[in-house]
Amino acid sequence: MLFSAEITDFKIIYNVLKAIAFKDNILFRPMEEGLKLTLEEMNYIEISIYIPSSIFSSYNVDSNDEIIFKISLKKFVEVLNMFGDEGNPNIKLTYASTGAPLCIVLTNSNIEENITVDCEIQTLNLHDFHDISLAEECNTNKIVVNASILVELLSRLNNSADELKVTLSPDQPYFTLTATGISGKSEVSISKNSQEVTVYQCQTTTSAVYCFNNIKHVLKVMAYADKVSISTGESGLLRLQLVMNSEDRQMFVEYYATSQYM
Amino acid sequence: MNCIIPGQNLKVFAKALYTLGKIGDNLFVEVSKKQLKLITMNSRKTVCSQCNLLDTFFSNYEINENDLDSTGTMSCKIQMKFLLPLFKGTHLEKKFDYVKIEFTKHSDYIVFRMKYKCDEILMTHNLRLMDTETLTIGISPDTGCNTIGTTSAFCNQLLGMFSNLDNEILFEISTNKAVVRNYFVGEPVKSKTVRSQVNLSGTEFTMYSINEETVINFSLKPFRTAVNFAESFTLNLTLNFERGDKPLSIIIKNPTFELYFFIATSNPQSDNQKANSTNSIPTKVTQTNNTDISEEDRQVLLNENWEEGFNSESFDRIPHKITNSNSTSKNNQFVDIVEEALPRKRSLLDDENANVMEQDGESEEFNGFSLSQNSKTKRVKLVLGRCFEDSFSSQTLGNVLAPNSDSE
Repeated sequence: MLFSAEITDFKIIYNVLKAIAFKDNILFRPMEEGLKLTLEEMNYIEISIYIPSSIFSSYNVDSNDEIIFKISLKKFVEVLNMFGDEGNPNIKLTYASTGAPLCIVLTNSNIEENITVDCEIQTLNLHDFHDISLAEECNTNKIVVNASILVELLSRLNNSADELKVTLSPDQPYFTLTATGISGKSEVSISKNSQEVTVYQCQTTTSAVYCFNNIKHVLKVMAYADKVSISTGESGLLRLQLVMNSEDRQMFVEYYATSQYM
Repeated sequence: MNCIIPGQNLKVFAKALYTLGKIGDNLFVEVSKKQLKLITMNSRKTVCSQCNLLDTFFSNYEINENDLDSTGTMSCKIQMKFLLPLFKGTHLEKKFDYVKIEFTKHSDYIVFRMKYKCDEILMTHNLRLMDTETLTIGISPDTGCNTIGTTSAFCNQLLGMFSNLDNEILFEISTNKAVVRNYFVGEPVKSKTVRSQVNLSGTEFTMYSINEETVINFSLKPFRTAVNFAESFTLNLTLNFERGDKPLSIIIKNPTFELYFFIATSNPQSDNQKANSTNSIPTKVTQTNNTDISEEDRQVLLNENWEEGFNSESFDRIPHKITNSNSTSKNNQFVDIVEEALPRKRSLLDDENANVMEQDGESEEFNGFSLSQNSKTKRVKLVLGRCFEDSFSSQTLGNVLAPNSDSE
């Protein structure tokens, strides 16, 4: 048995997965520390979900092997929602060997009928996988803000805009978001002294333009987050780290986007 | 121009924008010293909506007099789809302190500055403007002789009795009662529809002043929109109209703002036309500041009679009103044509009865629509007048031996 895990109350996981489902085929990586699910599009955006092993009621990984495979995200989300909103199902994931399907057993303990659903999702093997650490690319400037205000600002910024410019500066007006599109231009700034900002580290000014539509992918997930960390670097790579708290359990989402002009 | 909408009025502003957004795709903003007008019109020109925000609606209302043109206004045109997302969401009054609108003459942008309540966050939206045009509505809201006032709750209850699938509503107005139907008598029965009729006494309305009994048929969608707006602020609605086939005005008033709807109507009883051939609302779209055009060219443009080409060709078979600004009386073009045409026929018919049929065909083609049942009977009486005269005249031939056998 390469990997097995059990979890009850996975509502938050389901919500997050559903929110990021802009593409099928998600990379499934069970690791010692927890489960990492990665979605990637054409090498310009990457979104990863980290589910720490502490969230699971039982979590076992074969540490000798590097386990990595792809599954259909759409099917996985469908299976997770097999019981709909009702009950408090318990889920068990198992992955026996390389090339084997991912087995999911759902038991609905709350309902008297005691229904068990047994599913198998076919997996895809990965041959050439490069695990590149992107974190170092964006360690120049960093801001941590409350997710609620960032969601509000991003969703109210010009919705028909094509481009979003993110500027972090050590001087006034500090953190600036500018959306430009056919309908005009919208701009908003947050001061580093704002109550909404918890951390502001900035030495030099960085400014880069991103595709607004890509940022919108992460906007849905951000609605479930508590805090968001935005960091940028010289190369223009943008990193958003989202922290989600659900009943004293934490979950993380990491998002990378490349800038439009290098 | 520098206007500030306080947070507590944002709810009204956003709701009004969304209400107008349900009518048209473009928003015409007209600024004058006393008020800010938001006007929109649907593409078929059958519904217009106007929102007047009085200067008391704003916490600060400053207009630079140099910006105003000769008519004392300054206008711009914005696309609805760009403007509406700025005011989406609920509880705007809790999120924002104020919204400031800035706009100057000859500017390509209108600026909305939204000040958040939390911290010092200020969001600036520069929205690109479309061609500088003004929309003038050629009717005023309270000229009709019939006025009905109701509460929004009452209207909502009334609308609840009709299905969401109904497109039109018909009011049969008498001096002391109103019958509301989703069909008109004589219309072929459509399958899978429910015919509803609501009888209302005049006393059920807050105001019911009828000077001319009529039947008025109009689109339900703008009516629903109006009721929906009025209900969210528990305001009263006033319906003002003259008769079916003349525009109906719905008026919603508050001390600081006014919302008007102008809806084209038809009267299915007045003629045998299809009910949907309603006259459009008389409106005019004018280019305002053509700054790029030289004075000479402008003179030429002004002297050109644009209307001529339209009027000489009666290509439009259904009497249809093309933007006509200056007079509301012209609105009912086809009625005028009927009135002009009939006497002419009469004089011809007296002389040569043989040409009746030919003349008939000609006149019908000329008018572009078939004459009403009523006028046909009139003409039959006129042509075959002798048949309806008494068959016996006592003056020429002594005593009556038997009474008239013919009845009309």
